[in-house]
Amino acid sequence: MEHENLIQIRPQKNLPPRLTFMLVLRGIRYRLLRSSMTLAVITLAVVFFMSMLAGNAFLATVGNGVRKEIARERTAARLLTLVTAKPTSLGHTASLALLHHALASRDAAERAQAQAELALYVGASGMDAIEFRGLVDGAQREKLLLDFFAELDFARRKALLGRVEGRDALLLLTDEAVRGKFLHALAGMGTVRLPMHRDEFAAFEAGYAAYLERQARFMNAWNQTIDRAAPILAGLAGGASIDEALSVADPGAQARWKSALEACGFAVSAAELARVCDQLAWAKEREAVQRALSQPDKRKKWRQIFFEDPPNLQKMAMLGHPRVGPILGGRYSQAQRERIAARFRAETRLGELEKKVDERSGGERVEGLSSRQVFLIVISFLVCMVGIANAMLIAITERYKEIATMKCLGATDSFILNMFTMEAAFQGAAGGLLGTLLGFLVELARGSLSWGSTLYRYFPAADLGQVALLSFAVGIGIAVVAAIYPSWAASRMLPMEAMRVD
Amino acid sequence: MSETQTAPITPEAYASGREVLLRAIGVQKHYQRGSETIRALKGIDLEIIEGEYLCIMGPSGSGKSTFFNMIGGLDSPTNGRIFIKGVDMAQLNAEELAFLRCRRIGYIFQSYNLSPVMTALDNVTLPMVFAGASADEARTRGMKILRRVGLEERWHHRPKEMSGGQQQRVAIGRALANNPSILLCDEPTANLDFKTGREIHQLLFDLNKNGGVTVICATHDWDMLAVSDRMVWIADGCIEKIEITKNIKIEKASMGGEDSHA
Ligand SMILES: Nc1ncnc2c1ncn2[C@@H]1O[C@H](COP(=O)(O)OP(=O)(O)OP(=O)(O)O)[C@@H](O)[C@H]1O
Ligand SMILES: [Mg+2]
Repeated sequence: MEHENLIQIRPQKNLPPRLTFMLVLRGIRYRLLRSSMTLAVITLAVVFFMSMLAGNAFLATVGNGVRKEIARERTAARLLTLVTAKPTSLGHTASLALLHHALASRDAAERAQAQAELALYVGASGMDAIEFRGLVDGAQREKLLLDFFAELDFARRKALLGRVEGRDALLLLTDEAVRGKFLHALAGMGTVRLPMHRDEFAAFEAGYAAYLERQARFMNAWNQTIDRAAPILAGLAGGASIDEALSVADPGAQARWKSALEACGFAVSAAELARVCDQLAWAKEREAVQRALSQPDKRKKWRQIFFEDPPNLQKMAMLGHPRVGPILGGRYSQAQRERIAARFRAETRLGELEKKVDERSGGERVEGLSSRQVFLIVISFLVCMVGIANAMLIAITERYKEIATMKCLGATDSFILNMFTMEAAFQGAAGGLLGTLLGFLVELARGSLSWGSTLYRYFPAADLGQVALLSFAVGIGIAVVAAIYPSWAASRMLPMEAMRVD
Repeated sequence: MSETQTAPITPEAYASGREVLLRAIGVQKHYQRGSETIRALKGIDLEIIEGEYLCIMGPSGSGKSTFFNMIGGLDSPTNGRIFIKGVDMAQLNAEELAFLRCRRIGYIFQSYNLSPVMTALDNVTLPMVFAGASADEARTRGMKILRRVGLEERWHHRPKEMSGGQQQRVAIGRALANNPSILLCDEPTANLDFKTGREIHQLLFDLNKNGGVTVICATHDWDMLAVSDRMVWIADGCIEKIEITKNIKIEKASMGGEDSHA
């Protein structure tokens, strides 16, 4: 009799995600306010992450900007070195390795400058562009390996290479048998890693002799370029030194210098040459003022007027003071002194900024997160995830009745799981948004304090946008990952809990 | 005890030729608390007829809620079996139990258990959503149900904005969402005053008599007896007696838990 009347029972269908989403959306305002604990933890984690990334972005752009300004300030020194100095072979390695780096720079202006320099060297070397490019690549690898050997501690180096050092080591390793033993010993050291893949290393060593030969050829050609240029430039300087002559060059003289330099193979733009002349003139002017300030009678006068005798650097900065005029015997007008003081102060500030950048970045270029920062972030995320999971577990035990009731109404386990994961994603989004904003503000305040107006000059808007998106996503990510266990626990709750009266 | 179980079914039920809807055979439930075993149900045999109004009464701690959990598919018995229209509940997996709870049984709780973030209408239509009804269909059916429980003009109110009686009526509406054959009510009026409780009784009575829903109600409320067909008295995990309400109504005043009239 019972079999005829069997009621129809099928497996309950899962609610599609869209509907689950709608249900979650319905209660989310209420939930977000009640789960303030979870929200706070997520927000904190994201603030930490965002401020670290944003701080890095600030340091990177300000650092690169300051370095570029410094490089610009040193155009004269660079040009003079370029046209007069004969670097050693290792010096060439270092400068070509730098060139290699600059050629791959993210900064378009820096890349363009590197291209120009490359063209100059190619012209001087008598090689074709491809051969020279090979030399540049080789230099970069050689530099990497030399630095690697130089940084090895004594015991390890001795174990690996005996007493050989520097290029001798690289030469020794061209022998395949020696190299094999070396690589084997290195692999045994575990923590020490070659700065390149071993195939690349083998290829470099195989071509090392050819590379050295090529570099010698380039050095030779470059020295000849310098030698050829020397009499021409000396003739143009007319007895004075080149920098002396350039420091007083008027536009007409500058044009003559420009064509002479080009004739010698050193292409230089008019603007660049004008900058060089200006910098040399300024250096002379500054030195003259400093020399004047150092004279005993001037120092005495200074003390009479200001009751102290500070170091020259301080005096230079105060040069615009009206009472300094008489000290210098009226040799400089008020306006002149003010201009000198302003330029000196700008120079000093740039120097200070450079020092600060070097301090913060350890002298390295800031490209991404350091391994220490990554470690900190990972640890903080783990801690936060435990915190979030705990807060969510508490929130879920508070809601046991709601969950059980839903199960009485036909909710499946996976619906509950989806629902809580989605709620967590919402919390993550809210915390991510809040944290990103707060982290940005915190870092903006910190950045303004350390960099001042320089920060706004090099404001990394695009990078910050990326970083903000990433932080936001991270907020959602950690919330969802942390919610896995609590949501699972919620989905396993028994429907009979709904009957309980409290 | 055996004699009480020989007359369990109303003559009207037999006369109407209705089927057995729920059958419990030797249902036991033991809870393990540490080394101690709590025997909450000690072997319950009961047949519930389609369309009847059954009251389950008994002292606190006697096992009424435990028995409810068993017949509602919310928990499984330690021993014994429960059939719903011939289907053994123990044979159902989690999804099938969810299906059963969604469409065949409506639950009404002492503390209403409405979602505080949803309006009356949303609360009522939630089981329909779980059953896969479209939004439009859920809306029209939800409004119809709200009219039935007398809260049509309150459809957009949240539980906080309603009285306890109104909330319980929304909860009854929610239990009716998918046209269940059974309404399981665990002390539905315990949190309500006398008058509001009576309204709920009337509503349940109406649903039972005019809607054909089988109502099973655990209660301490003697007033509820007035609307029910049968009364099952549970004490200490056993059925102590089963009465046809009509026969005991006159002696209501003398009912003190002792069974002298049987
Ligand atoms: N989850 C549980 N774990 C252990 N013991 C339980 C559990 N649930 C119920 N019990 C015990 O089972 C017995 C029956 O409880 P039950 O809740 O069914 O009583 P009741 O008749 O519904 O009482 P009331 O009228 O107060 O609601 C009680 O002794 C109770 O302590
Ligand atoms: Mg109870």
